[in-house]
Amino acid sequence: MIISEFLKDLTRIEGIQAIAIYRSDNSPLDIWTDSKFNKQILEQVSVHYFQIFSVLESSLRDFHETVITYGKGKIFSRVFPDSLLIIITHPNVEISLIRFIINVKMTELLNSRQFQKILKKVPKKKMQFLDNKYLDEQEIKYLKSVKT
Amino acid sequence: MTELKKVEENMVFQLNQNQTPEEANLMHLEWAVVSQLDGQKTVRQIADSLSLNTKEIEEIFKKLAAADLLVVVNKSDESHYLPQEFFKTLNHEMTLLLGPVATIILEDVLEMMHQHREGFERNLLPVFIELLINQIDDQVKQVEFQKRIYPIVKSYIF
Repeated sequence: MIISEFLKDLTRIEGIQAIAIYRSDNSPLDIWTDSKFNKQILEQVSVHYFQIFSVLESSLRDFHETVITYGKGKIFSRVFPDSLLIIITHPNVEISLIRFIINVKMTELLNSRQFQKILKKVPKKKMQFLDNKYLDEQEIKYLKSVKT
Repeated sequence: MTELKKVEENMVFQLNQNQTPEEANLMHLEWAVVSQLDGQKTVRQIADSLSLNTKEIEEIFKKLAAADLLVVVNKSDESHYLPQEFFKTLNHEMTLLLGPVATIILEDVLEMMHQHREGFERNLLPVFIELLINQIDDQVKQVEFQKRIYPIVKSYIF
């Protein structure tokens, strides 16, 4: 609902396959996909992105956005104080266009009463989701080295 | 044999009715592209629907053109380039926010992109805007600038 209302322009870009907004406990606030896209992929992807941003936060690195190119397209993600946005696109989609739309429209979304109302229902906690069950030995080792 | 020098993403083709693709010894993906040639979809839309990257789609279109299977439907310059009016409006909005330095910033970014106001390709607009935003140091002004130009840019993109 909030995507089709606030991020409608993103859904109009040819080649945008999926847009998802998660709250800070990794539960979806809203998901939009084109008809061919498998929504389950988003669930798997979002867990990894929470991990990525948590690691970045742990290492005190000021990263709020990532763009990864893979064989079939691109994954854009940006973290906000209480939420995470993930966008999956075809390879030809211009990331600067996505960024421009988000810069304007996500501010409207985040400040909207609708979004604030949704957040009120969520217990406020810091984004720190590094659950050891998702980590392999290398990752645990890396995190230890970052913390020391 | 027709040579297609450059395949642009906004070009639209249809199948040449005087040729039969069966004789062209096409590969699977080339057939997939042929099946999408409806005289309406742009090269980019076809690439997206088949998950092909720029290089792949360009090679396929060049091969199809070489086999004389393509007819250009639309290469509209009008829709391909940004009108001068856009730069005037942009310059005006930037000047309101940044003062006389706006024109200098605008020209600097155009130079950085090796572009001119005349013949500025529409598909370069998002990158152009991003570069302009990066030239504004004040974050509050960055936000304000994006908010102001959003409806203008949107009208040239969609």
